[in-house]
Formats: sequence, structure tokens, C-alpha cells
Amino acid sequence: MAQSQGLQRIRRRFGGYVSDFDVSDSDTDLSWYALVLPKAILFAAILLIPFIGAFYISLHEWAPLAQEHPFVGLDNYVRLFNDPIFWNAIINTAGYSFALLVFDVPIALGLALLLNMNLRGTKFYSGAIFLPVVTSWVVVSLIWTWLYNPEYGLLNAILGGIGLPQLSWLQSSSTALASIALMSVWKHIGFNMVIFLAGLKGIPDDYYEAAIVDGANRWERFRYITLPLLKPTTFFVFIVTLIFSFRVYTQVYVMTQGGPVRSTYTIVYYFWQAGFQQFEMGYASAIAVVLFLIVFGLSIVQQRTWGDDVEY
Amino acid sequence: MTLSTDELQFDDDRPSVEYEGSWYDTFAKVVAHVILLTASAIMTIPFIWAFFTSLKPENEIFTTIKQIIPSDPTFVNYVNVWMQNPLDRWILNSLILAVGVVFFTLLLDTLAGYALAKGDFRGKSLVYTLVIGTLVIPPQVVLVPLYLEMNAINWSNTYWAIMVLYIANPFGTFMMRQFFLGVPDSLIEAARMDGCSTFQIYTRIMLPLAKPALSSLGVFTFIFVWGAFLWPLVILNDSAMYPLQVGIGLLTGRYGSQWGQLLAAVILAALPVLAAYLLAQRTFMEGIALTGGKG
Repeated sequence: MAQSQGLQRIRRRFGGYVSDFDVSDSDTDLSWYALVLPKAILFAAILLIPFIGAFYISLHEWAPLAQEHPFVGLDNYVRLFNDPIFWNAIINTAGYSFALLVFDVPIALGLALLLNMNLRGTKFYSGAIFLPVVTSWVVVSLIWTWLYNPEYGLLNAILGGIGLPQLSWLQSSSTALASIALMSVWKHIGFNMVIFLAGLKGIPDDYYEAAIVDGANRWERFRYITLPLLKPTTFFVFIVTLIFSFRVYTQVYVMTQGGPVRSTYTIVYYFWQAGFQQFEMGYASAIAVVLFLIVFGLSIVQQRTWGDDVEY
Repeated sequence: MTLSTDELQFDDDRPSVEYEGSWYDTFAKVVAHVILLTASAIMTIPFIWAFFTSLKPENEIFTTIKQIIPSDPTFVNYVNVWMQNPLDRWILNSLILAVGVVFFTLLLDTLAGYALAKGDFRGKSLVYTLVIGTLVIPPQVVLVPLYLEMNAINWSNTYWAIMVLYIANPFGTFMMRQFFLGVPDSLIEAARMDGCSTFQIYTRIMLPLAKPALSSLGVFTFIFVWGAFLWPLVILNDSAMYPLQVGIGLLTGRYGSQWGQLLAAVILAALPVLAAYLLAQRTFMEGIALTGGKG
């Protein structure tokens, strides 16, 4: 191949880089670029440049139709810091995330352990529990808005039926966020369960068999084999749930529109409102940058703790 | 993220290690069945109840809450909601978006993943850093600049504007790279000896080997795009371009009290994915297990 021999000559001329290059492979060198470029260009145009753009826009007063976008320095961030609505959104989002971690992760682990017993009907059970995961957030949000209906909903009918006081669910500022969190746990549990299940299936049977030979009882096998070997999976599930939950938006939009009295305002909901309702794009970008910093911080913790388990 | 398909055997026949057979063992199994049965009921009843409600005529919905199964099921809500809204157009939009994103995701991610796993070219580590770096960016962060960018090139209200964000998602590239790293080099060297070009190795060796990973990534991407809400909501201002989820998400205001029709639309929106899921449950779960880190 004449062309690629020419390429080899060019490589030799340009020195150091060539020396560790396997010459037998180099006749196809250029084609690697053809493979990787489409995706690389997309990354740059759709993720990287807009990502840098978000920082840039956040330093400006930016109305989309205005001719000029005056530079305001850190004013948007100062305003954000002093904005009670934003702090309210942060607290709501943190509360939502906390509820998800406390209920979703342990229950998902429990269900995965039960499914890992290989009982009859495991396929049916896992299929049913996973059902909400494949359904969209809009669909489950609408179904649950109907379940939560104070007068005609199933939940209050059940509460009334067993003699408990009925709740106003989404319509009271004291219960709305908890109601959204409860629905989200229901929707998301199958997701974590499957990841836990994959982790459990990854533990070799020999370990348990050896432990049984050594006389370890059920609890000891769980305590000394399952739990330690499942630690990376648990941590992964924990962080991913946390990162996902910080992006809560669709449920809020469909179920409560942030209400009542902003009790379900979340970071992304406020971001959407500032950017695409008020068209204050500089301010919205500042919110987005703060969201990024939070999620980025969590990702760093994840990578630190995962250490060798992640093949980066 | 180190999960592999081999680890996820849902219907395997390997013997349970809980073979003690004591009364305690039986008791534990009964308790497990009760818990799993309860959980399954909690997960499915909302769907069933919504479905039955959608079959009741509007005036019956508020008078027969305790009677879950309608005495005289009717599809009148489905007919009405279909007549009053461009549901067919919204479904078509969703299908075009989902199929388009799946196609480009599979194509570009296998190409790039292969190059990043087996290639040897200048700038490789730079591209890989880009993949890892963009993995941690929450998609919301880029929405404002992307919105301005799409408007600047006159792409608002197009399928492309919606699709690009999801096609650019780095997770598939990361996943396919991890997958291709596991393909032995000897296989590639042998093919090269036989005169295969890099691209021929891709089509004849890499793609056929990657079929399980491709179906998982494809299925998961499909669910993900089918459920997409915020970005289409932001970038579209023509309701004829709405994907189904955005269309029915915006119905709530108008249908405040017409729950029969609203739930009929919801069931219609859920059906395609639910039907596919019931047919290929295992592929869906593997998709989640493999792509669990995807945003």
C-alpha cells in the first residue's frame, strides 16, 4: 500500500512518537480517525462546547432575543446565593435524594437477596418489580397523580378502608415532596434491584459451598461473604442513585408544577423556570453550573472510593 | 460498571446453595414468597387500576371507586382522546426519535468504541478523556447553550435538534470500548494476516461479537429516548413536533377532571414499551445492568 508507506515515512521523520509505534499495524492508521471522528465531533459540538458555554453564559445577563449580553461577572452567583427560592430548591432536592437513598437502596438490596434464593417464580417476581423501570416518568407520574387524588384516588380509598386518616398527598405543602419521593422509590427500585442482582450473581458459588463445608450458617455466609463482596456494587448503586436523584424534574413538572407554595421546587425545576419561562438564561446557567459542581463532587467521591474496581 | 452479561443469568438452572432442607429453610422460603408476591402486587396494581379506570365512562369514574373492574367496559375514552389530540403524530414523532437515536448510537458507539479499544492513533487518549469527562456532566448543564446553538443553526423544531443530545451521550462509547477491550488481539491479528482492513475487522469480527452488548445498549437507549421529556419540551415550540411523552405530559392542564381520557392516553403511551418488555424481559434487564451508569 503505497499511501500508507508514505505515512510511515512521515511518522519516522517526525521522531519520538513513532518509535513506540507498531509498524505492522500502521498501514491502517488513518482509518482509525474515520472511525472515531463522528463521535468525537458530536462530543465537542453537543457536550463540550455547550458545557464551556454554560460557564460563559452564567457570567452574563443573557436574554435570548436581546442584541447584547452584558458581562456581569459573578453577579448571577451572588444573586443565587441570596435567593431563598434557590436555597429552598436545594433543600427540597437534598430531601428528595435522602428519602430515595434511605428507602430505595436497602429495599432494592433486600429484594435482590430474595430473588437470588432462586425460588420458583423468580422470573415472574423480578419481571413485575422491574415493570415501572421501563415505563416513562411521565406515564408513572400521571398514574400516581390519579392514585394520589384525595377524593377519588386508590390510596385514600385504601387508607379509609382500613380506618386510617386520609391524606391530601400532592395538594398539601407538607406532604407533596414526600409523595413524589414515594412514587420515585416505587419507580426506581427495580433498577437498583437488577444491579444488585447482577452483583450477587457475580459472587462465585464456590465461596458459599466452601463456607457451608466449614460450617458457616446462613447469617455468617451473608456477613462474611455476601456483604464484603457486594460492597463495590452497593457503593455504585448508592452514588448513581444520588446523582440521578439530583436531576429530579419530570415528576415535579407533571405532578405538582413545583407547588403547592414551592414545596416541590427542585434545582432542575428552578433551572427550567429561570431559563425557559423567565428567559433569564444567564441566571439559569448559574444554577446549572452549581448543579454540575454538586454532581461532579459526588462523582469524584465515587471514583476515589471505587478505586481499583473501576477500569478507567 | 464492571458488570458483564455472563453475570446476569435470570433463568439459569444452577442449584440453589440453600439446600439445607430444614423446617427453617421452608419457613424462610415461605416468607420470601410472601414478600416478593406483595412487592409484585405493589408494582403492578397502579397499572392495572389505571387501565380499568380508563375503561370506565367518564361519569362512572367518580362514582364507582370501590368497584375496580368496570361493569360495562368501554373504549370511548380512547376514541375521544385520540380524536381530540394528534396522538398518531406524537407516536410517530416518538418512534422516529427513538429509532433514529438507537441507530446512530449503535453505529457511532461501536465505531468509536472499537477505535478506542484496539486503535493506535495520535489523539486517542484525548478522545478517551473526553468520553470520561463528559460522562459526569449532567445533561441539564448543557441545555441553555445547546438551545442557543440549535436556534443559531435554525434547527429548533427539528428531529435532529432533539436527537443530537442523546446521540452524543458518551455512555455507549464507554461501554462498547470496555466490551471490545475483552476481544483477544490474536483474533484481530489473524484477520489482518488474512488481509482484512480495519473497517473489515469491524464489520466481520467486532460487530458480530458485540451482538449481546448491542441489543442491551439498543433496548436501553430506546426506553431512555422514549421517556425523554425536558429537552424536547425546551427545544420544541410546535405541538405537532412533540414526542408522545411531552404531548401527554402537557395534557394535564387541559384534562384536569377528565381522568378517563387522560388515563387512556397514558395507557397508550405505556403500551409499546410494556409489550416489548413482556416479550424480551431478559434483554431489558441486561440493558439496565450494563448501562446502569447512563444519564
